[in-house]
Amino acid sequence: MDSEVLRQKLEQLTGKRTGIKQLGRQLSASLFRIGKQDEPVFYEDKLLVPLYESDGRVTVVWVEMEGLTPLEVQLTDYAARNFAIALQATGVKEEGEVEARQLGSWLNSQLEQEKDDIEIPDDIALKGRLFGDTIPFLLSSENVHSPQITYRSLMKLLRSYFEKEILLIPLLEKEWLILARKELLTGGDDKEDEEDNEDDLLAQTCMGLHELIASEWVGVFHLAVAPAIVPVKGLTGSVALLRETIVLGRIFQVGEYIHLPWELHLERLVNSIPVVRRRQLLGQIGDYTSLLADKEMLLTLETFFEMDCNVSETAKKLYIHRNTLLYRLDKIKQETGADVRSFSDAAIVKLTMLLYKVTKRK
Amino acid sequence: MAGVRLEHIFKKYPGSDKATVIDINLDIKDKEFLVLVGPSGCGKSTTLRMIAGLEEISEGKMYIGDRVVNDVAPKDRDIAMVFQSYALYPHMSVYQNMAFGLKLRKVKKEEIDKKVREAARILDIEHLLERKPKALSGGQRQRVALGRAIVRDPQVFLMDEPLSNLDAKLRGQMRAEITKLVKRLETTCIYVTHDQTEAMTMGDRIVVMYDGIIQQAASPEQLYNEPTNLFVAGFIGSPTMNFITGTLSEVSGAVRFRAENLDVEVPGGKAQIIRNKGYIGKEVIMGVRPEDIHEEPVFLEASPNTIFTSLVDVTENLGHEMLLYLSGLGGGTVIARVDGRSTTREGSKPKLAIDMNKIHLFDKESELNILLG
Repeated sequence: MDSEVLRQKLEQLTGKRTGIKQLGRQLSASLFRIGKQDEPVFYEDKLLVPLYESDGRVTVVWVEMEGLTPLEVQLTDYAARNFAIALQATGVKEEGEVEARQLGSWLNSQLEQEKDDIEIPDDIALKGRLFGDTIPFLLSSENVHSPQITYRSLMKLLRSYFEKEILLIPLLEKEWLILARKELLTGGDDKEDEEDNEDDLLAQTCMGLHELIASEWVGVFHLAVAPAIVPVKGLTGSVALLRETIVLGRIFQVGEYIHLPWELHLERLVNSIPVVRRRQLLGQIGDYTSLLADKEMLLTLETFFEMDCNVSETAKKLYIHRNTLLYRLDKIKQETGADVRSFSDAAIVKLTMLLYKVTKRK
Repeated sequence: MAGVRLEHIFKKYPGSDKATVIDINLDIKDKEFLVLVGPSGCGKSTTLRMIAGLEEISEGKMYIGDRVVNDVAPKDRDIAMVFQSYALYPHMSVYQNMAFGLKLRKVKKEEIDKKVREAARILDIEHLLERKPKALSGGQRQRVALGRAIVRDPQVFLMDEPLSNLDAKLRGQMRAEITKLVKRLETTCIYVTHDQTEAMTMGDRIVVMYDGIIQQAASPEQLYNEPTNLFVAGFIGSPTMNFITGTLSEVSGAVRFRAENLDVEVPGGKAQIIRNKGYIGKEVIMGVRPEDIHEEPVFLEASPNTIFTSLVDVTENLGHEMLLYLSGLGGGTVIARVDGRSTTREGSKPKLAIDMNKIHLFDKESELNILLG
């Protein structure tokens, strides 16, 4: 049972508003005896039952007091204590996993209902830590054979890497949201870094993080990063964007594992076209089937577009002679009538390639 | 240290029609420097990434030492990787970048410090230890990435195009340094490159890949002198091997190769193989390396049956050698590499001769080397 389920059950049982909250260090110290088994307290018209303490902050389950019977208070205390004991037995309490799972579960339910602009509500325990500028990363593991990824081991790795406070939110079974403070982009103290292109910095940070997690931990997984947000307001939208980015990356960037939303605008557009319409469009544009089924030609075109249709740079990137590239481009023109050196033809061929990839026309 | 063994390895991405890597079998010996080489998209990086554990293996078994590692996480494979993109940790200093992997493995601080400084000394980056990656040049970043791998003291080094972001001069320098370093560390190394010069100069053994398949795995010398097929023959060597399509025929007890403006005799040993394999009367592709076409009078005198005349379209004098671009042989351009002091000029029609002992003949359909095996 995760903390969100506990909250829901208590709410059903008592009929009162209920929530999980991590208290600040000061309030924790004034209400509870840190590090010791403690009794529930009444505070600001709420019953607070302590679940556990981490780094001086006590996490409580709270229930609105008004009209609460003594029996309901006892039952609440009993349920919360059992939950805390069960947590202790699994050894997850010190890592803040409960609050993280509560937020993850809330995010999942919002996104299932396609609500991607909802502010984090007060009953989310971590809300107090979601106000600063934060960079969201979404990690989606692909390992079929590897052992189960644990929250504790990933959190430990990330903490030692960032050396700053981060949040790790488990979403789906193999999907994790990482929230890191924006200062990590600049190292916190380098003023001149602020002038650097933020997209480049995000891409570099993503590459470093991917390298770390891949080599030191899990192996095969996809990683996406989105621009900095203030999570309390923008988290649902950002997670929706990151999920979409990974879905698009899996379709359009086969063999790549780092996906950046600002590099997938066209792909997003093509993916939003209904399947039937896509097939119609492919039929209307012309027959590119044999061209796009030819691995060498496909790689040539992809590289040509990646290099902004620059012949010399493309030849260099493909490690082929310029004349070989020109021969291939002429061959494409002969076969399809499209001269990719002209903008309009290049645009059509690029769109056709994307449509072809997403429909996987044989 | 350990060897690496790949048994019937396949890689197929979800949704794609064809496998990217097809039935790879390789036995890489302990302390061997193996180079995977091939054009873009041939599957060499994917193979390396499977060894690293960064790609799932679709089929087959992968061993490091005696252990099957298909399901072993990268961190537990005792390997160290260096990539083209040298993904350094941007918010850490060079020292921290190099020390981080050891810190995670709970190595003692003093030991980490010793290893990092020793690696920094070997790579000549001691003065950069306090800098952040963004303050480094491409070459310096690549050295840091190498340093990060060295301090791990792994069983196997995996390197994926580690030099391709560097300029030509630095590449040459780093090429020699990596070779020296790997020999000194006595570690197995698997190195991926598209560059045949890198492959030929660095590898104890080279694996040429194309279209997801191993075309040939052999020593640099064997690959150059005994290519198993047309692809390998054309891929290794610069300028590339000349290919001339023609017919083999038996004339007065000798086997001759005839093509447009060319009629030369095949030496006895090779002629016997051609007869035995039934290629008389068939069209084949002859492969001749540019350096096996001669213009020295002594050679012409000794090889009267392989002399031909051709128009020189272009000459390129590189100082120590001259390249002659000959037209009309077998309908295409043929390149000859002659002495830099040659007096042959553009527009002339010199007499030249082919060293027929060094030629290769390929089946036109299967593209396999007829003269091998």
